Amino acid sequence: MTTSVVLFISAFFACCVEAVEATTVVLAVGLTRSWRSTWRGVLAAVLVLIAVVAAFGPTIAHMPLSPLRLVVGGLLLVFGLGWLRKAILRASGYKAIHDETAAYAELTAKARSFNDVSGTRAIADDPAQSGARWMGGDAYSFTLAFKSVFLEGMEVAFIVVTFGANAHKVGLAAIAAAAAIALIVSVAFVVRGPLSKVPENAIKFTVGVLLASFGTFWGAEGAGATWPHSDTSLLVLIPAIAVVTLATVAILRNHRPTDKESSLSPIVTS
Amino acid sequence: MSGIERVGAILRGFGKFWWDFIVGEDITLALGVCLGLGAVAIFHAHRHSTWWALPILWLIALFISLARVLRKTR
Repeated sequence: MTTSVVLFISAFFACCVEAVEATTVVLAVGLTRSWRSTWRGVLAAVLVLIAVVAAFGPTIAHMPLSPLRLVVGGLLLVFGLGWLRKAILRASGYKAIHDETAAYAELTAKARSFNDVSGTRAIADDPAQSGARWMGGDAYSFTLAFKSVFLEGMEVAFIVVTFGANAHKVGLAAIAAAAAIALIVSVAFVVRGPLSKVPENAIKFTVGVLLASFGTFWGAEGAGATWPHSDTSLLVLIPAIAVVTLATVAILRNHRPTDKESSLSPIVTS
Repeated sequence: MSGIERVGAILRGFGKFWWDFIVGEDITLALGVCLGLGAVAIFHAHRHSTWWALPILWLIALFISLARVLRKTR
């Protein structure tokens, strides 16, 4: 029961964060250039993602439990720590908070600046940058929409398949991911703009803690360890990792140099 | 670009994609996790249950990774 709830929350929130980032790109190119080509890019990316999940999902689900937990636990842990690292650096002021409004403004400006007869040889060599016509559409919109949906989607697909397979609940993880996509896409098209009010860092922090906890639990089990009190140890592991992460944020905040002392430029990062 | 160069470029791109996807910005975290899992497996082979080795080693890796960022900003 606990695993099901945590699995649903992890898949749902991980998908929300990635969907917000992908939706910003899709809206920016769709509204400024061509909706037709943008939709084609989104559709192509979704089809490739479905093919990847269909190819690897059943293979992962049929692996013996111990090696599965070792590999999947290790990978979930690496992903979780990456998310935690980013969330810690953002919360403590060492990395700029991801600003959807700024990212949207930058993308729309870029999309407007590339037209069919744009410039230099280097730009013309790249159909995505030259805005070349491709399959009766706009290659720039197609490529950007495809790239963003595919790259953001891969991480979610991976979390859904591995987390779901390990807990023997791939269906539940897929439902959580689908619910998150439906929610974010609906809100984005009602707002018709970047979803800047979604607390991305807080969500990333939560998902990072959950992925790191389950990754640690499954990874160590897969490597042969026996946890004290079995599954119940997760109820200690999750809050312990959350507390250590929050303490790290507090310590880093106190030691942060002032803006004048710091060489960190306030850039918007993904 | 010849055929071999093109295949090489595709393979490099494929490898880079998976490297960026799994390892990401800092290899320290992936190394810490590998070391942690390796330590648990080695202790298990000697009949010791060392579940604590994994969280300790990844925590050290996380702190090293954060310390690197801090050093760059000073």
